[in-house]
Amino acid sequence: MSTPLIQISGLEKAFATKESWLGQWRFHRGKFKKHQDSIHALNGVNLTINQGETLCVVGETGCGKSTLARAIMGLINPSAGEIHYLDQRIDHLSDQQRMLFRRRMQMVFQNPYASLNPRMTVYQTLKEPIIFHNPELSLAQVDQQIDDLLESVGISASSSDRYPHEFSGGQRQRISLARALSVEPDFIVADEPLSALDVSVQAQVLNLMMDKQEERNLSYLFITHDLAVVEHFATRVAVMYLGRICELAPTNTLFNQPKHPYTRALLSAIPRLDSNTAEPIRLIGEVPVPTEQPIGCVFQARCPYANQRCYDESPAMIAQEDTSSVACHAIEEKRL
Amino acid sequence: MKYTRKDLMHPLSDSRFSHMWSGFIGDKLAILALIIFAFYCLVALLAPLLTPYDVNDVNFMDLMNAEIAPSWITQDYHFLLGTDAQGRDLLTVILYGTRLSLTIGICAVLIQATLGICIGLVAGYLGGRIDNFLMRCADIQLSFSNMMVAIIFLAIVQSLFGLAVYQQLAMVILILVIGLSEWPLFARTIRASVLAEKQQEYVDAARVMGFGSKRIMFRHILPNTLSPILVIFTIQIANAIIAEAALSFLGLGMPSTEPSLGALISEGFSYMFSGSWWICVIPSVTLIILILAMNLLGDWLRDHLNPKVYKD
Repeated sequence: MSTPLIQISGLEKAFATKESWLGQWRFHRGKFKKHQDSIHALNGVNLTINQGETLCVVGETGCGKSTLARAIMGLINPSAGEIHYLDQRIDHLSDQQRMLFRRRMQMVFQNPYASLNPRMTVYQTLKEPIIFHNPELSLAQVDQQIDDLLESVGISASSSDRYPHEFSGGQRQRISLARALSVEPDFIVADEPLSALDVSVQAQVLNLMMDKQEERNLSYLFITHDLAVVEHFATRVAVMYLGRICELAPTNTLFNQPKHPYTRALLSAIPRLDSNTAEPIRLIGEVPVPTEQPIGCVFQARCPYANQRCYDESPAMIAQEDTSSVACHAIEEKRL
Repeated sequence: MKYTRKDLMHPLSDSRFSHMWSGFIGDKLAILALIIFAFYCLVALLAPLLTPYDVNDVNFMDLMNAEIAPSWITQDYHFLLGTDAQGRDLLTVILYGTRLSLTIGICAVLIQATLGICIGLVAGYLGGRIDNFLMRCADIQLSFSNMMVAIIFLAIVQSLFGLAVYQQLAMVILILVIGLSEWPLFARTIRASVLAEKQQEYVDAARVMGFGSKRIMFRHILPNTLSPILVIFTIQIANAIIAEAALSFLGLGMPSTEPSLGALISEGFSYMFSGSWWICVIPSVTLIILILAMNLLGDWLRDHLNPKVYKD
């Protein structure tokens, strides 16, 4: 049994919709009431990331994938819930206390054109974190380390004096990965690192990430839209919908036997070359805007199997026989 | 050492630089403006070497020589541009005046820029209440006329310390007054660019690395907001020189023993209608050309550092 590296329990995040201080007051039944609208991006996420695994998070736009990533990295403060790194709680730490975990956890961003500082050369970009986290290193050692890092991500060390705009998208994403690896982390959050790249370059970056995982025993939290990448890359997959995780399963199990109605619809939407597969399941309606904390199952409005219980009670993650776990009343009641 | 040159690297990359250079060569007006500005700077720096008379000489100020017309009128080549009402050689006085005006302008803008950049960065990056507070301060500062604040402040200083002390400290006080009164211009512009830069992922990446706010603000965000700073910098120098000239003209600036361009104009103004027009007109023309060159430079920089406005 692999040991859990990151444990997330009951994570919630609500963003206040920007309203001016005065605009928060509403006149209601003869009284002024303070009212602040908010968007509930995460509604109680429970997730465990094991050492050395790749956990892919899939889901449609706006379901809270990036919010989850940013909450884990401490870029935003969660409204409720806990995040543990090994056995230490890290979600409520100050910047100073968090410093220790900054080295252990790193992030690769979505847009390779914005994630590197345009006014810093590759050398400067890599030198800064290395010196910052290892002030005892001599300049020669730092230079050596930078050269090694660049070579290891397939960028020639001689181009370290160039600025980011002189590189292609794929090269930049590899430089971003080198920056993340520069502090020798054991956990990397990748927030759609491939979405801005074209397919051949995606494969390069993906293979590089897999090589690094093998080399350094890294764990990934990999956020993506692309189910083909998931099938190729993931150890386990978490399917998110509207700020909750609705299914968590090992990759093979998920792709062969999707259980949650949303997962089924999602997987049936993958275009296949063979023509004998079933028609894609069409979901009706749109994702609701989560201005209120949802009551019942988040998928109720679009689920063809919803009954009264789904409207009243939110389903818990229930472990299945095949090591997957699903949050769905229909599955629990064996209706599905 | 392998990487010794790296830290000296210009923040503008090569291609950007060459783009600016080619644009510069194409623009005759910009070249002319830069040459004029460089000429002024050079002359101001070398004033003690260039001037035909020594300002510290006792004979420099000789009332016997007062109000001599420029050489092309009198055919007397002792005083190339004539003399002023105190009998000083006008060329010498103008060279020293330019030196003073430029020093005051540049130092005042340095103060403005330092204050404005720090306040703008903090307001933009930290946001929230600090942002609100600092920007309201800027609004209040801007709602006063700068000239009015300067006049009141200078008048108070004059009456508090007496004229003698004031004349000694005039330059420092002028720099402070002009420098402290116009920081909101810098602060607002910087804040606007910081708000845009803050959204970029490289800032998040720096935060994930654990860098402190100060480091992120000055090392990561500031270099990316340099172009607007450069533009305001040039235009503000022109404004500061004008402000100094205006204050001197009103009698609140540099003393007549150590005149800046503004003080010279003011002094010459009273002799204007007695026929000695050159005491006023020649320093005015000097000032106007300097301001024009600065503004042309600023305009050109704005066009070329901002690709959206840039037109071929």
